[in-house]
Amino acid sequence: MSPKAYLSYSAAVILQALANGYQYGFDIMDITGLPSGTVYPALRRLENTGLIDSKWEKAGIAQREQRPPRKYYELTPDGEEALAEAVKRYRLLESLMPHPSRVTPTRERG
Amino acid sequence: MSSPDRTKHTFRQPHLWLIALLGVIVPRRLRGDWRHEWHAELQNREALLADWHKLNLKAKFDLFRRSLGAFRDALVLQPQRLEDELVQDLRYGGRMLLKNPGFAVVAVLTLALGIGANTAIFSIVNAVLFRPLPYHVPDRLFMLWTVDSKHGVQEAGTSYLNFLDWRTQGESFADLAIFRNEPVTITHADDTERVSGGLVSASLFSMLGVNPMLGRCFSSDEEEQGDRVMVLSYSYWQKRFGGNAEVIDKTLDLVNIKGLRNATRIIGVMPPEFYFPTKETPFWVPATSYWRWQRESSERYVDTWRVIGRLKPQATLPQAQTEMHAIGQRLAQSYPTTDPYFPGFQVNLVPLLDQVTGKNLQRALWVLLAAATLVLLLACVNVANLLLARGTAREREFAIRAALGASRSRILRQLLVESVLLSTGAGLVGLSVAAAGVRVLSASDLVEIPRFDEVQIDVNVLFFTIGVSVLAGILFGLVPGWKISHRHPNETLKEGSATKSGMRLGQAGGMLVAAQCALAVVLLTGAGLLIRSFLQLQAVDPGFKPEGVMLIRVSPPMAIRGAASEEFFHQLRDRIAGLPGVQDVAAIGDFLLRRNFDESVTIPGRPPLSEGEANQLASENVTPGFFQTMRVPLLSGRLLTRADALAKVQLVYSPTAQNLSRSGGSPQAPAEAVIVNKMFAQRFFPGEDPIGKRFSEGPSNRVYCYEIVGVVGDMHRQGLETEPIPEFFGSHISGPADLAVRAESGTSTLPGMLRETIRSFNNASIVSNVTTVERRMGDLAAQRRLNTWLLAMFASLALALASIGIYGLTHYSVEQRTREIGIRIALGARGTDVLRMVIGQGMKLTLVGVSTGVLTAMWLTRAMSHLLFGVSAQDPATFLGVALTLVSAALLACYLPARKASKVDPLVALRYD
Repeated sequence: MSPKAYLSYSAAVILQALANGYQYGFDIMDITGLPSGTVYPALRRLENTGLIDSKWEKAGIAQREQRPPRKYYELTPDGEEALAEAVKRYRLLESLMPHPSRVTPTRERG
Repeated sequence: MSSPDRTKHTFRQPHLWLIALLGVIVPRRLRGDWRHEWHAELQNREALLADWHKLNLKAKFDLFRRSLGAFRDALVLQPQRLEDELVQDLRYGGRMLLKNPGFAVVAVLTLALGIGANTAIFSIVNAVLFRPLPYHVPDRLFMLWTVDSKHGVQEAGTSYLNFLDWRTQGESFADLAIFRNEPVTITHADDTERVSGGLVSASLFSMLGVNPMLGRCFSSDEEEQGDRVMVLSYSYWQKRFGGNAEVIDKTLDLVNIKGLRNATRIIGVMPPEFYFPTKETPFWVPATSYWRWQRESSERYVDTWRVIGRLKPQATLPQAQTEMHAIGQRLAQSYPTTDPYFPGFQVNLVPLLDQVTGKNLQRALWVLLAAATLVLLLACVNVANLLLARGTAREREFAIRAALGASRSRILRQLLVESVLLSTGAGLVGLSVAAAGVRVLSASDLVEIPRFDEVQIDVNVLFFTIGVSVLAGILFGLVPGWKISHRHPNETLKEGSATKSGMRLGQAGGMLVAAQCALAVVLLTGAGLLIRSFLQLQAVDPGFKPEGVMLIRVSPPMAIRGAASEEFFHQLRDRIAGLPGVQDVAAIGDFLLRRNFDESVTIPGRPPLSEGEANQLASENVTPGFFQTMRVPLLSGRLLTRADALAKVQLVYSPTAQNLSRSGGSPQAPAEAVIVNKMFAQRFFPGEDPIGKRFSEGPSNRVYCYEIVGVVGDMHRQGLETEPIPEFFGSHISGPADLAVRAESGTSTLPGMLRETIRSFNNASIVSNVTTVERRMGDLAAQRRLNTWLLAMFASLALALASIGIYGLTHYSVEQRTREIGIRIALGARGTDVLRMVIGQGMKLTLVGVSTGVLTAMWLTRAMSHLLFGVSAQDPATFLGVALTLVSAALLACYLPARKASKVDPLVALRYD
């Protein structure tokens, strides 16, 4: 899939949220204000087109906190490229949401 | 974060259940991950929320709302299903079936017969028994009948006074209402019409919980005042007023049987689906507008009204029955009576649905549904055998699959998917077969059962068909699937194509065929018993010659009574007798006998018959010439003449004669000349000559006397299934009557001519129900005809399926054993030896099946003994006939392949492979 492919606004918002370090479905819903019925299908689509990737949390961490391990999503290089494209189109995108204080932004980690 | 017990607790949350549930529709490959992710997110969120502040209702709702988004998520994942194994199986199964279209078509058609039969019968069961009656919560509605044990009548009516007591004393019922139907003539413009209108309590409509579509129903005030208001049924509104909404406040003239004319105002129209108590009831008026209301509403010992009630939600039927019984006993103590006609105070509750459909029909339908299920089972067995045979052919394919690592369950699933695919196809075909069948049935006159007009293919029927198809698919796929998947691949591959023996149908197939024979025997026995009953019924001598006799219901105008009525029928007979082709004509009050026979007689000089003694007899009036017209034999004495009729008019209507007869019923007093039937003579004058003997009606009546002038043969006027009862016939008709006209054959214009003649003779008379005697008698046996016809059809299907099954198995095993048979012949076996061997093997299975079937049938046919007439449920002739039929069919089915086997050329056979 070409990174230049057209991204819907909501998809772009989700990519931006991921770029800002919000890695879980529900966190993305909170920060974007999009309903779960939009966020999850969009995540599936983005994953299928290779713009994002998903991984399971280390079982040890979850066990320590006595909860099931969560699935988190992160941008692939293609995704970052697509986001960069999208930011040009949707100018306000980057300023839309604050960086989370408690999570290291993906870009820095990469 | 969360504590261990909190985590446990969260599993009880509804949103987590929702995820678990939704996961079912997520493609299986993704399901685990999907559930996991959603669970984790929701639980994490819950934990966070609880940390921030205690989880309140809004937060919970929010979580739930979020988890609803999972539904859309699950839907989005649907296309990925295509990559699922199941879909692979489906696609592969479809390809395999298409590759072998002959097999697929045969299997689908075989199953479609079974599924179609089931669907058709179920659609009738659904409409008649399952579809709720068109009232609010109809299963709480009950009829309250008086049980008249004295006269052996289960469903007698009650008086208004009793009804009032029931209503005030009965705690189990939310409400009770009375009703009855009464013949009424509607006159409108210059048109008259005789109908049966409903007289009902004002509370009936609210009790049934149905509101009018137009206008309103009458109020209890209107009922109390006896206002002349009426509510129309939808169909009558359509028929009479073309569905004109401005019908409200218009008036119709209703003329009751006393000839009183009442202008009645239309105040409402009921919705289309509503009917009560019958679909033919065109309107409802307040019960108080009954012409005898003034007199009757203050009488205790009458049985005018029928009562319907709604049980309170918490009340049960036994409770209500016990309560009504207690009330009845109290009433019997408070109001003792010696009135011989009064039915009493004993009450019986009958669910309204049972009342509408009748117990006999319910039983018959269950028997038919069971029969249809047996047909389907037979079809399944045949297809299972086909699959077994085909499985043998595909053995190598599965062996290779297994060798390459396919698990047993995967192979079994592949086979099941194929069989379910087949049965679903068959379900589709069967559904259309059923729809067509039901349409044919409803178009024919064959079916006259209550609610049959409601039969249709609805959601219930669809679900039933889908369920039956899938079940059938699993059923017939399981045996061969199990067998094939449990073969060891190594053996199959080693055997290769060198030997063709492969997996034999062997035991599994043999057992299936034996089971088929057993099923077919059960069905054939059921059908055989019904057919024999039907033949027995046909052989019953009705006591008259119905061929070529037309019946016409004639209602003379109300003013024509007494001597005028005698004159009316006399002249009308003259007119009709003059029509071309007419041989005889006469009249009878009502040709069919359908009332409760609660009359009794007293014979002078004998003690009155005891009350407990069932004293059932009927009386009817006929015009002179009736017995000649119907060709009823005169056994002794003479027939009635016009002089008898005139004498009777004189006796009944002249005051002096009335006084005379009242003077004491002495042998000298004039008496009405009557004819009695053979039963009457045998019952009341055994071993005596009844001619000239006198009797009077009722246990203590001395006012009016009858003298027997002749004895005629018994007539089956209640239908052929019921034994004739004692009857006596008077000679004068007053009021509506059935005109019986015997005509030469080939007078198809007769009905029209008769109507025209009656109209020109007396324009005010009402002519209705023009039919033939055969037809009217046939209607009485309509339900039996349908049962017999359907069961016979199922049984022939069963016989055909079983024969095909035996043929298929024998044919197949011969083909498998060609080599072996070739060797036998090469070693000196003769053709007849081979023939005997093959047939013997087939017949062994058949005999096992037949004997199992006979035993099963002996046990099962008891369930249908109430459907039989003149034949026992264990009728040896039927059982023997069925066994012979099946054995000969099996012989033929074995003989064809056996002959082929006996002609095997050993040289060809040994090369065969």
